[in-house]
Amino acid sequence: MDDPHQGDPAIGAEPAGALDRLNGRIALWLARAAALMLAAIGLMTFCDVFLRYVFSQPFNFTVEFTEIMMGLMVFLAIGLATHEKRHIGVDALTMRLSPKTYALLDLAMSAIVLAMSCVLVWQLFLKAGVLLQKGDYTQIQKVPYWPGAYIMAFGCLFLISGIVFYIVRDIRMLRHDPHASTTANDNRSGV
Amino acid sequence: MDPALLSLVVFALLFIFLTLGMPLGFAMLVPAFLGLLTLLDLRAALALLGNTTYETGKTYDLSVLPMFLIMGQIASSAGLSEKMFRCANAWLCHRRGGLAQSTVVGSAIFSAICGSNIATAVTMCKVSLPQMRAAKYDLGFATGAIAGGGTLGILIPPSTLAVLYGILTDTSIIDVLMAGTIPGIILTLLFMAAIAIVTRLHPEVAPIGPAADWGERRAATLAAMPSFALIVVIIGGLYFGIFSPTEGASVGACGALILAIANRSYTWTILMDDLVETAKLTAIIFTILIGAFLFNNFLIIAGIPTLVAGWFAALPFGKLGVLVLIIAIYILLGAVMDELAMVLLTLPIFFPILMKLGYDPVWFGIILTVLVEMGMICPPVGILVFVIKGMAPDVPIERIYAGIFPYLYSCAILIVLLIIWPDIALWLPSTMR
Repeated sequence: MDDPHQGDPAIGAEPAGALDRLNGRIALWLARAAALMLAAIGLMTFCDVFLRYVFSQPFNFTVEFTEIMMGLMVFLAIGLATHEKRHIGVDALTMRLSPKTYALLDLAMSAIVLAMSCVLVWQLFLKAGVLLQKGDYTQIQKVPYWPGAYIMAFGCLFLISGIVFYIVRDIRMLRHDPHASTTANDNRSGV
Repeated sequence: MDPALLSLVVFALLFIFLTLGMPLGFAMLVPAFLGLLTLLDLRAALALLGNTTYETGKTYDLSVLPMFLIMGQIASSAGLSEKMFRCANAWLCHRRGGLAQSTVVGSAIFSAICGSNIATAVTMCKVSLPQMRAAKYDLGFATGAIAGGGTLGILIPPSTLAVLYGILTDTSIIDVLMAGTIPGIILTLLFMAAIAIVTRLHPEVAPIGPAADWGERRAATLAAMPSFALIVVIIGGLYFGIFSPTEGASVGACGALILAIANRSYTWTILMDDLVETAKLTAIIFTILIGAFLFNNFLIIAGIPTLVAGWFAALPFGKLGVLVLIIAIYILLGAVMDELAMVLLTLPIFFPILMKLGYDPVWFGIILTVLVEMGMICPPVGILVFVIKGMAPDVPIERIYAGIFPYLYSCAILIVLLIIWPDIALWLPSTMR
């Protein structure tokens, strides 16, 4: 899979653009890790079914590991989904707006989403801290929950960084940057 | 603040945010969180936000979603849909409108591997539209058939909507999945009948094609056999209780991968792309689910489902009247709203009302699925129509919409049939016990 911003003249032309591209690359690698977890869940469950019916010896850890890996997968992939502006929204009104008005509106919405995301990530880190303090672990394999919770919170940081870069792009658009204009318009179709 | 008034404010905020383009998950999360802040103290509201986010991420039952998604993704990339279309076409191409009927049947078969109707419509559009163009089909009629066939993706198991419905309403996922089988087959037949009627009334929209000989039919059927076998394994396994939905989805995903590898054009790079795409889609869906779950928490704490159930119970329409009213609301909302948002926002309110009136939760799941199908092709905001327009930019959107009406009527007929004979949906799950 290619870097989503490869070849985009708007990105990389200035420090903010370079950071945006770096954010995209990290998010892509995290999503690749998420993809491997998805494959692992599928394979583990398939083997579990196979072993259960062929050898009557299923894994006893499938549910526990699936739960942990699901959480990791979701929150490691969220960065790339955000970076590519893939979150589902209704664009019936916004698609009719001029690029500048759209950028202004997107800026306002992104600012609210950013504030909410910050609260959400803060609470996820707190949750991970509580799990570490309490020392909670899975019932059968005794795997502690806290490392997974911290990784989930860490993955969610890229939700925040992705939104910060939307805001940067919108501000550039509002300052009549023709490159940023292209980027802002391109992003609409991904919503 | 009075909970009813607060809920109105929260709903108003939600619709404002949605209209202004805020991502769906956050458009639910932000107003719900503000509402909770009003009802609870800050610490409790924050704790609920953190717990909902963390617990949604690691819910085992939800792991069925990415498994169904990856199965559909691999099946699409591996070109399994093409084999299904060719098989259907070999048997139907000699009829007037045969290519359109093949599209519908191919979509129905592909739906048994892929639980997404957008994926079904996209893959079928790639496969069948060039052939219908070459056969000089009317493009409105042709694209209408693709959109109509695409709707079958969420009715015939596996269906991502059935999974979401099961989780949101605490209804057996297997029951909801299996309940879609017979209505899915009936809807396919209704779609075929609709095509036959349209082509009889307007023969110019679909010329008759040359018939395939028995050798071609045999070859096309044999080529599609592995896909049929996979469908039998998935649906049979779920029906006979051999595996849970998550296990069935994993077996299906591994089966689709084996078929894809056997196709030889499927590479590691495509597999990695499919996995990354599915992981992203899963993250997007989970963001929405987190918003929906927090929104549901707000509604329950505010006591809204009980309040609205009281209003509906006081209406002088009777049990059937309330159902018809709710169906009418869904049809209106489906015409203007994103279908996922519609389901997530309305289900916590309408579901308790219908349960209180004595309707079956599995049966309503199928009614809701058919309503969502209608919403996906209903003007002015039919997402499947937009998807097909994106793939066939030369076809005016009015012509696509003109072509989908026979399928909308077919969906309406199915709803009436389901109301008159609920066993159409409930018989198959009842035989599993």
